[in-house]
Amino acid sequence: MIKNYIKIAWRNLWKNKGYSSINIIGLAIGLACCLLIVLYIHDELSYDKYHVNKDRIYRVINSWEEKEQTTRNDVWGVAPIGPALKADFPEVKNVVQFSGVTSISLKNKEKVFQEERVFFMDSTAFDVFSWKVLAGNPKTALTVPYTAVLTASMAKKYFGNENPIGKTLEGGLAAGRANPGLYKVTAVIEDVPSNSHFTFDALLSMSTFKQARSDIFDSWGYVDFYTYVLVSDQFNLANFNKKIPQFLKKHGASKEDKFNFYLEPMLDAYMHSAAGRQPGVTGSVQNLYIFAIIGLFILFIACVNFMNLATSRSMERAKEVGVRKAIGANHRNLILQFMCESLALVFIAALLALLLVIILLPSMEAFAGKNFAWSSLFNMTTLSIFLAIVTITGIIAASYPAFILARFKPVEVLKGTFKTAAGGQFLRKGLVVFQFGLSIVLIAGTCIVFSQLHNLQHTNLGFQQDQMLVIDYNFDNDVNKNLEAIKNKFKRDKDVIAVSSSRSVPGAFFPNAGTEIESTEGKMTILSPALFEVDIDFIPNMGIEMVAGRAYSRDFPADSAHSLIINEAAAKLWGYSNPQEIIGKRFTQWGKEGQVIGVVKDFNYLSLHNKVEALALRLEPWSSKFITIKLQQGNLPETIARIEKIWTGVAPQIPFNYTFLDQSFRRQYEADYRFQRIFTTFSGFALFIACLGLLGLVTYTAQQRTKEIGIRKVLGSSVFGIIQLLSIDFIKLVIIAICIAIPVAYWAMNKWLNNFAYHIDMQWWMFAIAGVSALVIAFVTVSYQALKAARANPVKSLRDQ
Amino acid sequence: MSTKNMIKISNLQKYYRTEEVETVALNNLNIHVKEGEFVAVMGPSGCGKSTLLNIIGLLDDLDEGSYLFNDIEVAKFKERGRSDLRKHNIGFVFQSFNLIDELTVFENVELPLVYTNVPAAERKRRVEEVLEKVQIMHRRNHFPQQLSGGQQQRVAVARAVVNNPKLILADEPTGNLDSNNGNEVMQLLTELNEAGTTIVMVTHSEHDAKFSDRVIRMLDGQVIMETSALKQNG
Repeated sequence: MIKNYIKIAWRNLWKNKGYSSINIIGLAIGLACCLLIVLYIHDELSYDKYHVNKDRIYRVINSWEEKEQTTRNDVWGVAPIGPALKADFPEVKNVVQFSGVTSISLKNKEKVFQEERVFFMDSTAFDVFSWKVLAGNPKTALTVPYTAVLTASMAKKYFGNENPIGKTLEGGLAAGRANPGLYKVTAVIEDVPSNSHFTFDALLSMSTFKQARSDIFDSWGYVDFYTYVLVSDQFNLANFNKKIPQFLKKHGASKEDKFNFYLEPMLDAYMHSAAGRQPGVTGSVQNLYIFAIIGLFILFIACVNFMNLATSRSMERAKEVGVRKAIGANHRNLILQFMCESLALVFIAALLALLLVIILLPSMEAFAGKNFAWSSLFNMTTLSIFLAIVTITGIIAASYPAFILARFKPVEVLKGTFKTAAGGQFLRKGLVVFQFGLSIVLIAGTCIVFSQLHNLQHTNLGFQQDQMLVIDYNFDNDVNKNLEAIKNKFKRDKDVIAVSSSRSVPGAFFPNAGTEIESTEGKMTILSPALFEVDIDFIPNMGIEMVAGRAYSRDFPADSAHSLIINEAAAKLWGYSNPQEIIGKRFTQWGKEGQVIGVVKDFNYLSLHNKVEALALRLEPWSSKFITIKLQQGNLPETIARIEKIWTGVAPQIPFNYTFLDQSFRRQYEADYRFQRIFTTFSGFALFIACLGLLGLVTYTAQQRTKEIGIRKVLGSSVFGIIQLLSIDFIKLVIIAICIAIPVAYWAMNKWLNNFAYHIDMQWWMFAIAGVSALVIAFVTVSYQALKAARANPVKSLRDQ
Repeated sequence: MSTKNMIKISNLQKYYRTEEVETVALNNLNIHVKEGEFVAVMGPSGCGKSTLLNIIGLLDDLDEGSYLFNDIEVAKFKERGRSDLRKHNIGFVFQSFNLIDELTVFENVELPLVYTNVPAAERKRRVEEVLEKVQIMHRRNHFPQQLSGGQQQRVAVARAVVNNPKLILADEPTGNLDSNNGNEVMQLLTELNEAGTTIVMVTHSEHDAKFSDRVIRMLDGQVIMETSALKQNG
């Protein structure tokens, strides 16, 4: 029996090549998209799971109570909490701490690079985490000062094919963490898997840091450490939490109860952590949902096509059903037969989809900024998920047509009085509306995503972004000692308009600083605004506007010790709605005291995802890390070459490591651009599949109406009249889809836009574009077939009938 | 011919309903067909003869009345019972042949055996036997569109008899054929009848009716006359 089914299935597929290919291609693309999205989601959900102790690793989230009962939760926190946890809690089996990410220049002979992805880490690193050690002894690798563990790529970068173990790298200043020195390579590990919530190129021993700054290791007020703990099997988080207040009290950790902490499972770090100051990038559950939904949409559209085409072809199969019933086939036989046919089609599509995925995988990797190993495609989980999707798709897509076909009454079919039920047509139309509706939502979504990202690039951020060359010299002492002289050398270049230095630039790292400012009631209030340490020229060079008071000035020598400038948000945070009123108020901050002398207009020093928060601009040029040079428009390569020449003249020890401010600022939007690329591509696929389905349906309709078209032509209808006749029904459906889709798109995209503190307002034309594109695409698709039908010789079609 | 009734239909009512009108297709109809009998049903178009045939073949429902098939009441049979009864007892021959275009001659004829789960080797033997009988063996691997009308109808007859049904229902089996081919088909049916198969045939053709034992004439959904035919044997 099955053989018979397969035979007839194959012959049917072959006989209706057009129909079969539309169905197979549509479904294959749908399945391929779905599989790519599964791979992406699978990768996103696989973060940190490679650690053997993954379920027993927790990390400390530090909480600081700020004004108005708001709490700031950061992963980045204080040092003494680590040893204290180990000492006080028997359930804490091990603790590993590491510094904030460090920039350091490393040198082996003539090879010198500034490394940006380095941590100082405890020697317990390998007891807690499971990075694969290729050479060296992990137990002792980070125990003594000035030792380093390199990843395989780093080892190759500095030592080529030589064995790096025991060799040394000359490290520059790791500002605030360690003084220059020779680091001995004690171990080499495999590159950190990309699905880690933090990655690095090298680890330096924490004892090096401790040697340089032993004081901060006992301070409950100094923030520069990530603390991860390995707990026992019997660990109970609720019980642990109960003991926290007593622990804090015992260690005098929380002055005025402002400090608190909690433990977060490491497996939540990438996807589910709400804490700030992460050691690496974090993912977005929302984007994951969006992609999952798009994947399902695409699959659904492909299924809808499948069902639509199959049921619309049911007339052709009706006779067969009638005959089979007359000679003894029962309901079950027929359902089974049509299911077999559909499943065969689905499995052919699935094989094609696998092939497509193999071809498309490199592009997907580029799009998603990920590396999917082949093993991630051909592993049991992915393949089982895929197989499950294929089977479910097959059953869903196959069952409807099968049930419809099997229900035909043989007597009607064989008598020729059979017509497809009106209900079936209604459903078919409904499905067209649905898939076009989805496509319109996706087109409108694409428009809005593009507009928002365009907006991110072109919003006035409140500071000068263009033509700003930023040199990162990583706090080099010699440079900072001669900063004014170096700046003057740059200023002499004809294309340099202005030069400034600072510890932070917009888009780059900045610390927070406990700062006391006199409140409206005359009381000193401590808060912790973001901190930019800057030189005198920073504010004018960056084009930052003053709204009250004045900028730092060489005319006021006391500025360096006794003045502070803040932004509007900070003035508001301290309770001054009129920034003028905070001018002259007392402040203390990191050992300085004096008066607030100016308030700058809020500028976006963080991405537009974030609201502008309170910021203090402290005059502290000797803490600088960056020199920012404002350039004339002109021959950029030549100017850069001249600047490089000046740089190598004044700081030969530091590589000329530069970026442009607009580009480096935009890097914050990498995840958004990635989202845009994936969203756009899959939306395109969805639309393509929807069109394919429409093409199939209209082809079929044209076939069905061949006789009618012939008669109309004989009676004098023009080609255009026929096109109109065939198109109008479909166009009506697309218009209904537009009406339904626009409110849905508005709602969904509004939710997405709310991820950005600053976002565009959705405009009517964004939806108009979506609607009109859907109409045009549908019309082109339909009229192609309609034209073909309209041009056919009516005599032939009438004779055939 | 046995004296036992194979089919006994009493007080059969069948209506066709549309939104506006109800048409009586068969009105208080009573007929019987004996085992081994060859009955022709005649009447003008629209008199209900095809409807009657469809009801006998359990392809259509009756609205009122009783239908005994071999003394079993089958009027209230569900879909499954009907298809079981059909596949084991009844063969159909249609005016428009109704062969499945995607299957070869052999496969078309084989189909009823597939549905009755006959093993493959046995199927092959029986299909070949019946194809020989209808003299279409040489065309066994052709598709229906590659055959003439007469050949297609011979295949359809072969398909109807391959399962050795007790009853063959033929709906204008020669309607689409020229007289030569028509005669061949009638000859085939006669041979089957002589071998013991009961045949109920709807026809417009007085010529074809002469092959039967008895002619039932219908008008407006009722039997108006039953006559024994002057049987013609080819």
